[in-house]
Amino acid sequence: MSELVKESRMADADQDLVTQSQTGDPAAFEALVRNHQRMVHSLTFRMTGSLADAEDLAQETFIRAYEQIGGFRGTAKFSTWLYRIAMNTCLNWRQSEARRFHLHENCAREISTHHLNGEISSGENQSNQQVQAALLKLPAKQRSAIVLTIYDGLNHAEAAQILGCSETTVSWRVFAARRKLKSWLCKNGGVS
Amino acid sequence: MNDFDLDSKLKSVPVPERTDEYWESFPSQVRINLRRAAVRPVAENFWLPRLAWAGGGFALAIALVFFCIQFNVLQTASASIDRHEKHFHAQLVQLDTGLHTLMLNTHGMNYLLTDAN
Repeated sequence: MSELVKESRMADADQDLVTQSQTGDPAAFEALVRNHQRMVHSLTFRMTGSLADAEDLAQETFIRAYEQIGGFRGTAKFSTWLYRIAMNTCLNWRQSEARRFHLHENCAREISTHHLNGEISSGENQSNQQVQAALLKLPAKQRSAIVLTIYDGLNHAEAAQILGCSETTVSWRVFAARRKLKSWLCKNGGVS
Repeated sequence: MNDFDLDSKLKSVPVPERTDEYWESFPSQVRINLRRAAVRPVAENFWLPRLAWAGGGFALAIALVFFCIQFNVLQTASASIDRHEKHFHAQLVQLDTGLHTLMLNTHGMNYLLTDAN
């Protein structure tokens, strides 16, 4: 089955579940959560670098989505609409300075846990930590542009729709973020 | 490092995988939290923002009309004083010690005399 057909069927299934959720059916909403939970977790982890915070933000995203589902008119895909809520939840997530300071440590520990489980090699582990640390050093808006365009593969127009800004702004944020990431990773990773 | 290298490097960092039990329990956890918070889907009120804008616009229009009326009254009074200034001065010079006040009413510009005693 082609990706387009799969996507279309998923969109149809989402539409039915959304309609049922709008009438207050929690089971239908639970099914929507099941369909999109991995995507939302992935986004919240990339934005926070912490599994615990990613879980909290994913919970908050779905709770907000349920509150606002009455206003969903189906003009955009449900996943795009949900992405937008998840991204806004992440951007509104206020980090205290202390929390920000510990962020890198948490992230390193979580990646190291995988290393200890034998899932990745030592060199890979170090490189992953550097990349994740560099990503977390970016300003939140630039990080969100990188997460949407590079990790989730959205084009700039789709990312702009989710971030509520112009395509040009997204392009600029991606450009600025790339420049910083290259500089940091070359400095720390010895990449030519 | 070019853009392609950077993208490859970024994509090589995996999101830590969670257990199957976690993915199984997460949706029901959301449902429990929704029940705990007694959250209900709220139909977005389509007319509320429009009504607020219309109300604001109406209030602004009223304020503008009121301002124009006030401005017009002041302009009229000022023009009337200017027009009759000579006449009033001539009249006032003829008065002895009486206190006098100029006043504007619906009949036009008048002077009011009061006895000093």
